[in-house]
Amino acid sequence: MAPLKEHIATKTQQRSASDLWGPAPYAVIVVDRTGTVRDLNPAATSLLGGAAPGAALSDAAPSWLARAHEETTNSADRPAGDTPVTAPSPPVFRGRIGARSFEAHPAPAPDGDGGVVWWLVDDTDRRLVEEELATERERTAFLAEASNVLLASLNTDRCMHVTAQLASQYLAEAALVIVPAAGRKLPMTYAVEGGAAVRRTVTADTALVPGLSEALQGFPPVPSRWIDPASLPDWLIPEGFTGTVGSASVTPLPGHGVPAGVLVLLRGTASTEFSENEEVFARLFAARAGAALSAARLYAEQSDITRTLMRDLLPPRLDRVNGVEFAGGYQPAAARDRVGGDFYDVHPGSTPDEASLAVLGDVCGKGLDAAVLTGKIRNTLQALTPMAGDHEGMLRLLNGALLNSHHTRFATLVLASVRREENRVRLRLTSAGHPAPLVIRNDGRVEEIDTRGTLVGALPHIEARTVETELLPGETCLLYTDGVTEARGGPLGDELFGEERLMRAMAECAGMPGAAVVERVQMLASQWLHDGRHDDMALVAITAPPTTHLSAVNGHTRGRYTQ
Amino acid sequence: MTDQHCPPFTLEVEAGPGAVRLRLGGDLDYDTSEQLVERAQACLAADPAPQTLVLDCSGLRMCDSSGVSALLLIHRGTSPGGVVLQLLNAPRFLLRTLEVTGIRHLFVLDGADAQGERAQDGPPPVPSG
Repeated sequence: MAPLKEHIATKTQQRSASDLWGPAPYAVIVVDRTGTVRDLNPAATSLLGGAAPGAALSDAAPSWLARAHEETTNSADRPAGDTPVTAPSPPVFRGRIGARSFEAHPAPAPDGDGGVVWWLVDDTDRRLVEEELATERERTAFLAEASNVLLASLNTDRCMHVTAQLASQYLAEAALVIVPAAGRKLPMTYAVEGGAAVRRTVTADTALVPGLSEALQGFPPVPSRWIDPASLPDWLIPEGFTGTVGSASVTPLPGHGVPAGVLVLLRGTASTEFSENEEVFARLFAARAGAALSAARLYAEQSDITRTLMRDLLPPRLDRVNGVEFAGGYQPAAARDRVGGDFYDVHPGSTPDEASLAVLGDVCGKGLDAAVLTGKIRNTLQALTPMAGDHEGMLRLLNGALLNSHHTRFATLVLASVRREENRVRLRLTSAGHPAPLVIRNDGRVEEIDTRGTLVGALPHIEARTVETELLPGETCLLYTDGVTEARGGPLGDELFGEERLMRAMAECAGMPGAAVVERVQMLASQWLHDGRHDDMALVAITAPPTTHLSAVNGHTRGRYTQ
Repeated sequence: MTDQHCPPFTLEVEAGPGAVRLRLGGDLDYDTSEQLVERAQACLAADPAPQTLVLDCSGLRMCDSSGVSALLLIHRGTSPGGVVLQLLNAPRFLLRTLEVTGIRHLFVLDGADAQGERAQDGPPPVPSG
């Protein structure tokens, strides 16, 4: 023991604890090494309910203090050699006395006989603050996690699932997310104790649940103590929720200006009721869930609209029409725009002898604007199909329909009237400001069809020249958009694919089926690309099917061809 | 190879007596054509209006369908007032585009490339009717 303390101890030896520690702001108990209370100050007397000197500590004080005393005196009995040179900071013991909690700090008693002076420091307030801080931290972490999980998805179902699941894990035993009904049915998702969320629709009257119909309209929540758990309808109690509902809270999920839904929290009778603090916290969580849910709903609505609009704009599947092979290929510039500025269509002739009309075109611009203009052109051309005998007249009518004083958004296109004649295919081709069609002959020559004309949709007067040609069995006419020839890439990364390269590639395709020509050109253009970015690419191959002549049996008729 | 450090599109205006010259550089495409149209329309709206609008295309690297649309829109602004719309030093790819789309006759073309192209191509196509 330090000499200084010894000195103080000698001086104060004769004075009682109440004199010595009476004015101390803490309860002080002096206990000797046998566990008998030797002295108390008035604060300690009132704290321990009138314990007096001479009583055993185990009787006068809670058991945790008696145990702490035993531990302290035992460690003090150890031989001096065991004690480290630098004395460790004295241990602190904690426990409750009555409704409050205390820290007990031991100090050697001044009698020098191994007794201990216990200072009891009330730490209830500090402990409460610390607990509150821990709760706050936990909530912040929970909200951060909730935001992360909720914002990771733009899917309404997934958002509802996550909301129900998180709420049932942290806020209550069971949680239901109810979204405003589309009709009479109320879509809801529930989860019990953090388990997997379940989706259900119920036909129910929301007026039966206090605050529910108001919350669905976005009105502020009703305090949970106003909700009588016994009055809740059965459909609101999720399967898997055992026991009876002790308390319920109904919180609106605020969306972007409109209510996104309602979060209903249920607790069993065994749990505590919702405190005001917890309801505020539930609202904080609901704000995040509501934002995520309404973003997901807006996105879902938007993509529904886009899907509806786009359904008609997708390029058609092409096949054999009236004895002529048609094959198409389309690669939109960006994978997410399934439709773009390029298009093609084949309008079959009503009889095998009537020409079919194939159209391939490219609309200026990109995105939805281009897609809408594309739709307009395709519809107009379909309506004008009966006029297909006069391509130029058709283009003039189309041009008139598209002219607009606000912009010069134009289209370039190729019209091809296609008719099978015996084993050959007759073609009438007209370009309206579009790259000329190419024909692969059976001997490997590639011909550019010399049709020229003005683009449509921007100028009051247009001109066009129609050219006729014929395909022998196995020969293919290819219509393409400039996305193919303007694919930028190659070994140096900045060269255009170009017409010459396209023609060389096609020369190697002599005699191949149309679909194979389309695939081959698409593949080469894609390989050519430097960084994968390209404009829309569309291709249509018109092929005269390879045939074998069946000679006429009697030698008088012309005979027939297979296929 | 293009110089990666070049700005994607540049536009310089030189106003002279009776004529305005716009010097185009870089890529005229979906993102940049609106800028050209706005500038050209502002020049045409000036008082007194120029008699000639010259688009110097010598620095042009690329012109897509939006660029063609922009040229058509500028033409729409010049033709009613009788303003001459001249494309100076049009690169080969631009002439090719104007040729294919059938709108070459709308512009007064000048410059070495244009002369060469014209000599090679012969007279403009005549529609068969």
